[in-house]
Amino acid sequence: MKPRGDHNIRICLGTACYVKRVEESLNKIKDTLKIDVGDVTEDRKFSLETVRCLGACGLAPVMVIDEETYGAVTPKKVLEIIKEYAGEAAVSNKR
Amino acid sequence: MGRLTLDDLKKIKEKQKATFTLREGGYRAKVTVHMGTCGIAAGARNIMTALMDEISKTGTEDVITTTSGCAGLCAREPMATVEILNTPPVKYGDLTDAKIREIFKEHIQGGTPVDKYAVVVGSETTY
Amino acid sequence: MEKVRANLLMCAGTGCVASGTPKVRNALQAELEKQGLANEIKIVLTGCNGFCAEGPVMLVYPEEIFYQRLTVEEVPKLVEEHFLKGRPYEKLMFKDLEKRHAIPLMNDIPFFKHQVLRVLRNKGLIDPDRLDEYIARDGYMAAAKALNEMTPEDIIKTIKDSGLRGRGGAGFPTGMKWEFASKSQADQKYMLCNGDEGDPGAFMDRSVMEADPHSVIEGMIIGARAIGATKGVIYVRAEYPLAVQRLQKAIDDCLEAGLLGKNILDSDHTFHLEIYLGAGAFVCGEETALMRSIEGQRGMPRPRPPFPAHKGLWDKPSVLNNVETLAQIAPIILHGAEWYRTLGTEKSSGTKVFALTGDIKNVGLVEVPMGIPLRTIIYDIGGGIKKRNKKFKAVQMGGPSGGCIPENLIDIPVTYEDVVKTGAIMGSGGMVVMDEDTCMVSTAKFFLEFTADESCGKCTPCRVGTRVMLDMLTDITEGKGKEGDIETLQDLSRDIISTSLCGLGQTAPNPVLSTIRYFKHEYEAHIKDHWCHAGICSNLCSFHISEELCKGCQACFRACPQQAIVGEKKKAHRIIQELCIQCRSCYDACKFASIEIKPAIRKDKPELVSKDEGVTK
Repeated sequence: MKPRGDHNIRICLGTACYVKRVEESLNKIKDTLKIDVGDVTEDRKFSLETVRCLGACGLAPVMVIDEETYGAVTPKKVLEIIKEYAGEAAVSNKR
Repeated sequence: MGRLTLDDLKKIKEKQKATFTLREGGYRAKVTVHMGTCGIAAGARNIMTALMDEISKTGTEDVITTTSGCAGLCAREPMATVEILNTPPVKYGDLTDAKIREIFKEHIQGGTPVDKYAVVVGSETTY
Repeated sequence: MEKVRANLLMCAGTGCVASGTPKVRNALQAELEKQGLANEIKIVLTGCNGFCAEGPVMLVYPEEIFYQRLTVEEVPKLVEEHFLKGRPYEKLMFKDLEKRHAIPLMNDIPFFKHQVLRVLRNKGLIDPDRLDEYIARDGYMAAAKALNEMTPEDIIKTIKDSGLRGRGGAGFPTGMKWEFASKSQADQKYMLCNGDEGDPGAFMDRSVMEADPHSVIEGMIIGARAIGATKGVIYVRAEYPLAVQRLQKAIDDCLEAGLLGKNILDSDHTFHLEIYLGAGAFVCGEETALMRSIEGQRGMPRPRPPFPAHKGLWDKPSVLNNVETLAQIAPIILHGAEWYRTLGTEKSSGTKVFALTGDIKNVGLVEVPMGIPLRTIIYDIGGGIKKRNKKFKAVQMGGPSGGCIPENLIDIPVTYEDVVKTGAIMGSGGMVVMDEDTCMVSTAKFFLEFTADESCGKCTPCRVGTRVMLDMLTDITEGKGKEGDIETLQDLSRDIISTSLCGLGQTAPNPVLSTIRYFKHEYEAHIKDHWCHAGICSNLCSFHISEELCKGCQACFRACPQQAIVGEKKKAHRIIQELCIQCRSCYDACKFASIEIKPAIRKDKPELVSKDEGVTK
């Protein structure tokens, strides 16, 4: 068992997301955070999971961070979203 | 809600009729209150409120109300248009709380247009 | 009694909630209050409207104006324009294909125009949490009729005559299933609902459970009466929290109203209904595995016979129907078998719900009469391929158990029989549209990954066979494919199909077989030429810029993460192959289709690349 990070990232690997090339976004996250699926970053800020179809195929490709769903993600967009969370995590650490 | 019988089902259906008249169509009359800037300034909101009040007091279910923009005759605001299904629409002007209530009784419920408040019968030609 | 002049029906399905319905709703309510309109205009949260891609969506009654892509920022303007001044707000309306003008009315929008709603009859029209709104739409009238005026034989005859077939995938006649169970003698029988929608890319059952939970419950009450069951279970994936919540609320309301429990509607019939949460294993959608799972055992299929109609849950006669099938029941009982048959074909009667996703313009949930051409669904309702300059390649139907239907078969009527002939299956109704940028070998691999993961492990051919096939497909996509691989894949497929116990194994090779059937040249190009034409398999392609087509706009230059692109502005650019990592960024960025995908540049066989595109220093 591995611990989860402060923010748990879940990437949908359902058919609709697959066809819309969610893999590119997934790889971007892996490269950026330098973790694999199922792992947690060294600072324990992020963990990464994949899921099979969230049923939100209309928004494919879909990424979920904690409880928030992000639709129509691209490698560029996931990076921006993660940066936002990273910034926020830094702030909460200072407190 | 309590335990239901077949009769209760029918009663609930009847009671909800107004809501679904609104959503599915099948209304008998439509009242449009003109709410352009001029209409609002002249008191169109009170007309709408009075109308809604009459409708709910009498339990009317087959009349829908809506708003629209300026009717183009700002001097006669507040105005409202009453359309009974299959009859020409009637535009009323210089409305007040009492007048719209009277129109509701005579025209919307009774079916007879109130000539003394009417501005015009029929509508402009549109393409 | 409160009188409302307008109803704002906001979609609160999973898709729209994720796109922001809750925030917009709150902003809208606040704005209506601010403008003094809160008493006369009511916001109603409904189940899934179906047009998920344009969410959050809202329908305004009585005018039937359809708004899409609502945002909190647009709310004040919307309220002022439409609800105060009565001028429908064009900016948030659906725009037609050429984006020239807005289409205000929902039923004028092509996506909705071609649909016929039976299962989704209440979609976006009622508040799923309110029993009285369901009743207002003839709810539970069919149950009342079935319980008071009909014998079990009458009910079964009506369903048999209607020609209704199971909507879960296999298409078994529902009336016959009920008849078998009704004839079994036992002290206890069970009426079960399969809400374990595991097929990735399909979400119609979720939508029905969320938008109209009572329609499922009413179908179960009628089914229970027909087979003589007094207990029932709805099996739902735990991944569908909203569906579970709405179903639970509906069950609670029914218990209070005497629509479930003892003496339903003052009759002497009893039906106890509960929800069972599944953990989302794909195999648990198989009927015998699902029943084992409810019993608290590991979800694994068992051989049939005995069929569940004789020995099902707890070894008692049981009927398991899919969510969509059950939602069809009440209208059939109310309007009769003949009415149901007015739509659809002789062997595939009525309507079917499809989840339309992938590279298509209008993504969402659609209900159409069976027998309509596949082309109508994809082009008229779906609006065709999303990207302007891309061509349609194939549509995948039936998920991991199904197959791909290529362009030249797109005029087939959508019926159980015609779809099966193509090598795909109707399945639960997932339709994933793919454009020419899709690699069919990778697609087959994707589905095999899924089934290999989800195989329960009971039958060796399925457990080991799918893994072997997956390894071969992985090799092919990585450039390690060998001559004869295609034939081996076909042989293995046949073995797995004929020696597996349940539907999972029996259908798992379908995606591979159907892609080989229609796109064998792609497999061959992967194996022999090291060439993935779509440019998806990064080991099997190289990217080149066409000198004639390149305008030197520098879009690719900016997109390239490797700085592998060189060239002056307004002059043709060039890719330095040693630096290129085949990420496709340039391909997606180019507006002039000047990026060409060619075979991989192989260090071992440099002669395969012509000299002008060769390795550059």
